[in-house]
Amino acid sequence: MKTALTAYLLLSGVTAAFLIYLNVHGIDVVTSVATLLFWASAPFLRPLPRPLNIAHTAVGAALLVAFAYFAALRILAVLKI
Amino acid sequence: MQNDLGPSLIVLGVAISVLALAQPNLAPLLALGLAVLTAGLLTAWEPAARERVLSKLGEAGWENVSALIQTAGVPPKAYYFPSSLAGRPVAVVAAERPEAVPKGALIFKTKAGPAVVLSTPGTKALELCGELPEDLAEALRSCVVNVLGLARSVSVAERPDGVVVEYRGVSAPDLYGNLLVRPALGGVVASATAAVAAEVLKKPVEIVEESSHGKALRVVLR
Repeated sequence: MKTALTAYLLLSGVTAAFLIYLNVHGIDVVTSVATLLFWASAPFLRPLPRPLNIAHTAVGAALLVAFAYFAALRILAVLKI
Repeated sequence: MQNDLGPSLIVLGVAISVLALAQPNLAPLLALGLAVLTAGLLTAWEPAARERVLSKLGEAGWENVSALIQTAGVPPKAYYFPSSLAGRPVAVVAAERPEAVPKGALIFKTKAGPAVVLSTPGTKALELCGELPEDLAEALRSCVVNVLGLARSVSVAERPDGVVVEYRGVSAPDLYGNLLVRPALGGVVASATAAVAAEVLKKPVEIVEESSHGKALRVVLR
């Protein structure tokens, strides 16, 4: 788990630095990238014992909901509804 | 230090996330803040959650030991023997203190009835601690505090009714809940204390009293 956590933190740090370098400040883009990184690292962090598993899934689900919200806004803008 | 790492990461993660939300030009830091927050949550909870699972799985062994004590019909009272007398550090559950322990025995007969020879958390603690100093207080500090990390500090006082050992900042797993082995062997820290004391004093030791107040633990040995 230690290696997966370190890789997750490292990737997040590099991503944040790269987005700042690119002058990307949209919270929707950042949330989407954070969600992607979270779920990409999840299989390497698991298995987790019961209460921790639930907490981890809850954080992931919250990120997915945020991602779905921003994605829906973008789709609606494209469809011009 | 391991205990402080998780909460520290949580605080750092929250701070980074707030900074990212408050400063529009630093919004990408939110990805890092969320990652640090998640890492903090996992680091803070993971060891405790795994410890709970392992303790529960290991409880099966202690249930069997409780059944063995009950079946043998001996009162739940253990005498900790040093390796110099029993071949290895063990506890003998018997109605009264046996004079000797036959090597390799699981159950043997004494004048007062059957006696059960058990390996205890103290036995395993001694395996982890290795060579012990000759002074009891030093030995307990070296083993229970420094090697096992079960308490923050220990003080020893010798009184006419026995040796009083007081721990502060106790942080020990609960291996056997309210099973019969608890009154027989004592808690994890008490068991380790009795095993270390028997080994250092080179004589059988029994736990006369074990009482805890918050994170302080008082063990009286004789």
